[in-house]
Amino acid sequence: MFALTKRNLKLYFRDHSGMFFSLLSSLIVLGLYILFLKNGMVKNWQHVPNTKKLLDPWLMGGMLSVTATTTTLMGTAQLVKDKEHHRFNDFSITPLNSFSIQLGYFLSAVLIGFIMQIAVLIVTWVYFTSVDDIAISLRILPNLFSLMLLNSFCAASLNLLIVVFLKKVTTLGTVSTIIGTATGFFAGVYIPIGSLPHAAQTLIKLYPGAYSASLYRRILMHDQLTASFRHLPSEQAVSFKKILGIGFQWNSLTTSSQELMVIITVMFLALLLVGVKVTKFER
Amino acid sequence: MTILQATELTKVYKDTIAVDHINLNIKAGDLVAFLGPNGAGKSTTIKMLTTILKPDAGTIRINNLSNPNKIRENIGIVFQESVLDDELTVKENLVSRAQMYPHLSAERVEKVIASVRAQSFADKLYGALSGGQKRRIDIARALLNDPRILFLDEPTTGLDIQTRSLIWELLAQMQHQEKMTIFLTTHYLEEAEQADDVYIIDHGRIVAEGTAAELKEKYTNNVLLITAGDLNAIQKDLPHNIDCRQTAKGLLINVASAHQGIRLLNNYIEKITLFEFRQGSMDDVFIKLTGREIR
Repeated sequence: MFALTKRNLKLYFRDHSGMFFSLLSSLIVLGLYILFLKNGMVKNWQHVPNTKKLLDPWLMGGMLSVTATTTTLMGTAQLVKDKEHHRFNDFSITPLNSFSIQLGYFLSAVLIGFIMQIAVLIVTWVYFTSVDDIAISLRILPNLFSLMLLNSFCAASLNLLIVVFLKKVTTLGTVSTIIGTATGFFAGVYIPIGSLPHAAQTLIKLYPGAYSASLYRRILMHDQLTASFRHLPSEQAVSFKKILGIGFQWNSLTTSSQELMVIITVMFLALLLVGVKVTKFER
Repeated sequence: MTILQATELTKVYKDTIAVDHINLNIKAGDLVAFLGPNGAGKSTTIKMLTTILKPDAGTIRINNLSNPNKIRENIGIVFQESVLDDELTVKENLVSRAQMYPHLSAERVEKVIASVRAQSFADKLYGALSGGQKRRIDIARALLNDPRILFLDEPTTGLDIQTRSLIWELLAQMQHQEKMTIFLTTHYLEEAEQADDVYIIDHGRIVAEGTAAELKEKYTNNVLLITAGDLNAIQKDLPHNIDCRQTAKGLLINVASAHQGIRLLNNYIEKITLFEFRQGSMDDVFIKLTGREIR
């Protein structure tokens, strides 16, 4: 199983263009933010001190969520390629059982998602520090890395659930284009959730990636939120969070533990369904 | 000793019977050729024998084992299409596959590379190899777990004649030195001549089985063709029990053996100017059994 994982990792990191394309959605998010969104958003919130320092980590949170989705998809996509090119048959005649084979693909996707999130974190951190002098404490790293790992697990499970139904690389291409485009919207990164109509907001609330984005924002923005809203009324802080998607309005605004529960539940559900599909419809 | 025994093996796809109650009995150490036209059921059979497809009926015993997991320990497969990764080197490919088997020593990879004589390109990317080199690595991959029986699905299709000869040389070497049983499908009928046993399958059924010599004996005639000479006189004079007819190329006489042919040539030595003698080939056997229709 680890042999399969190792092989998948090698294939992913050796295919530079594939790697670039799996990051494309995140890069587009970053580009749009820098070129178009940032100015408007800063103007909207100019009464809040240090707006840029607050909004940059907000974007980083969304980017990490998008990165996990698209890179783990690319990781699990190897399964479809291997099925189409009959490599899957070659694995199925080894002593590996079909569960270990699926697990091999799953683990490689998780690791790919985790590593690429770290890469995106480093790049954006360095960039925003140099441009806007953002202040993120190193103390948050343990929490941040744990969340990255969990988020990677969740995104890989969801993507595995999608790819086990695909047989052709061309279908996979279409699916990954849709996911790559949609995930930025659903994670509330292109446009903050508060600026969207009610129906769109509901859609976002149904998307697990939005909750991971929210959790990232909580961690990354925590210090700056406290500092910026120190001298402002607390309703303003709540409304800021609501509009930018730090917590979502269910009955009340979601807490971080509720959001964690969403991610963990979705992950187990997805894995359960993958298990059913693999054992029931095998061969 | 029997290494592979398949009884009443059957596979049905929706409304067509791909493989229809076939029986195979393969001796250890034999090289077996499995022939058939396109769509006859060759690949389906090989997939069932190698545990990739589950038969709808019938049993398979390999090395006296019937559990698919146990069977897998005893077989190696060279698939029709390449199943290794273009982006990895030959060695990386083989190491990654070797690690999927427990208890395979690291030297095993070196050994299989040597056995297909691929040392000189072991560090090249698999995707950069020629068709023949790739095939040799595919065979090396199949040899990793030291199988008792090696299955090859059209191993020589699309290769040039030099590479085909090399592959055959390798297979013969494995058969004789390692006492390996080899089961292969092929389109090149002349290759079947080198097999110890030949099965011909058509419409999912085994239509003939035997050594190449037996099959030729049973299903083909030797042909004596008198292309120039006093053809009419010969035809008139020939005994009635000899099958002959005039064709555009000359007088065609079916003879039972080479000896009968020589006798006939001697009898009519004065009347014959030019002649051809042709022994039945595997092509004739194949056409006789599976027909001329193209599928």
